[in-house]
Amino acid sequence: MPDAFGISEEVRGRTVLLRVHGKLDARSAPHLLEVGSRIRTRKMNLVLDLSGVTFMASSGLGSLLSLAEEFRQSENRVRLASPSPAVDSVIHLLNLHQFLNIDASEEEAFHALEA
Amino acid sequence: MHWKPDPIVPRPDASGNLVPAGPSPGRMPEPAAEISAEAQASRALRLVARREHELLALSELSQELTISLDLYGVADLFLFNLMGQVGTARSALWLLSEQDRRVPVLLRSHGIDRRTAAALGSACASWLLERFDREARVVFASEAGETAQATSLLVRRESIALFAPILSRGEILGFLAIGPRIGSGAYGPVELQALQTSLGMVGVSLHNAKLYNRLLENNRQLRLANENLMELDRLKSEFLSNVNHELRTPLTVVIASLQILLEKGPEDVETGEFLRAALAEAQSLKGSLENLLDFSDVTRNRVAFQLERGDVAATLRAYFEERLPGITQGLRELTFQAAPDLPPARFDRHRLLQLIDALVDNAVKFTPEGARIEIRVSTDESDAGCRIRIDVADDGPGIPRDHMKDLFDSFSQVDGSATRRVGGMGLGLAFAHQVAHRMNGALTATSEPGAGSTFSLFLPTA
Repeated sequence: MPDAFGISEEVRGRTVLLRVHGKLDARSAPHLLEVGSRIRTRKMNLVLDLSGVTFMASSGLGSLLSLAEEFRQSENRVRLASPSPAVDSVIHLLNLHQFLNIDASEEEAFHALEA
Repeated sequence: MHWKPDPIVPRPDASGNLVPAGPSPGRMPEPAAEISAEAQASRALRLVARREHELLALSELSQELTISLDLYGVADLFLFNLMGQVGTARSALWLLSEQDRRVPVLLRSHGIDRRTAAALGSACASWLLERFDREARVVFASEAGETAQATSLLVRRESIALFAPILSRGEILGFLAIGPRIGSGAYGPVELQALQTSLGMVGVSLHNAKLYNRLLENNRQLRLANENLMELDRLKSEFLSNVNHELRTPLTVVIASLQILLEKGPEDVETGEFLRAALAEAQSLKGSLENLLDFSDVTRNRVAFQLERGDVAATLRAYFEERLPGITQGLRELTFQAAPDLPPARFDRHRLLQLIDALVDNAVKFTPEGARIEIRVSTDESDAGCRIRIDVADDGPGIPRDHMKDLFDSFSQVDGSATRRVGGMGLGLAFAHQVAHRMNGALTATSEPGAGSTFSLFLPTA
């Protein structure tokens, strides 16, 4: 089921890559925030690959903003990679692309973290 | 009391300075700069898209609020939706304590550290509630200048843009704080109208969640009272009949007599007060005696334990779901976590639930509203072999170091004075310790003053 929410995790050095797929809505948003917050408390960086997100509700966007703010207040960093059209349209509609660090691909995101 | 978002209230600009919402009176508006038709059309399309986004968010919220009847779940649903709706990275929601309507209890914060958010709510409460009592509308953070300097600085430091009341049936349930809109300018009349609609929906949901949790807790109390009555009846038919006869029978007569005197109607108000005080103390004494009887049974091995192979996580998950509404209704958060693939343990189900109940009751008694209590189940590998470990942890004030060594002694309490805030005979932890020992397990405690306490029960695997 393409809309079924899921997160896969891959560790590369000091960075965790989370690939998110499915619907990011009120049911899945708390889970994403919990997983992301745990990575922050482990003092690691985070790359969120959102290419597989088929739909993002306002609550999904709210959880992304909350997570970005948590990382902003910490010593670690988070970058969003490959946002799907569903994600990209909302981010640009609300002019959030400056606040959220967005890269076209996972490689660009990792490169930006190393810089 | 009804929400009044006043469209002509000045709005803060990006720097937080209040600016008029429309042209200044007595002045003609400046002529608009030349804008191409294409640019105008693009701007109009963008505006339509933004309004559509806001309406969609409201529609999503109305559906999402049906997902949960848990106070903390509702708060999360609402805050995430609102943050995505307006494009802000900071929010917090407080409910007013049922014991003292001037005290806010933090339910949730996002983008703001929990302790800081709790302090922010406490600092702003009296100022905000006074404003909301006068007029239930949004209060902009720039208006915090009229408060104490420390409050104003805290509001500014945490980048709060505005506060808003949460109402249900004309009463203030609590309030909300949100940060500035990222990349979208100030909150205008349309945004405030959408905020009002969202707050109306969440006010109803929070009110319903509180009622539902109260109902479930009342049912739980009735069930426990019934179980307690059945247990007492069983005890009475065993070997404590002498104690029953010597102490409980006369005590029952005393309580009944006092109740009859009150039903007949005392001679005067003062006599009535004395009778009610005497009745309350007699009932408290009866409760203490009943706790003592149960404790005595366990410590003297006069009750057989049914040690059977079982799934601790499944047992405690059912317990957690039953306790959750009552604890949530008391404005504390209860969470449950169990590691996957736990091996079975050997334990007495009834006594395990009594033990965990004693630990959870202890956590509720000694933590303030807004505290978090966690039940965690995992395994423990040590020289004693593989055991099941159950932690009951809270983030309350902790236990003073000089009380740790007596923690599991009978009749030990942190504050043993006659004027202590928390009641009880101090048998809960002693009872829990005995039960753990009778199940061939162990009960330990760790605590740091100011950083909470963790009670850990270890049970043998089967």
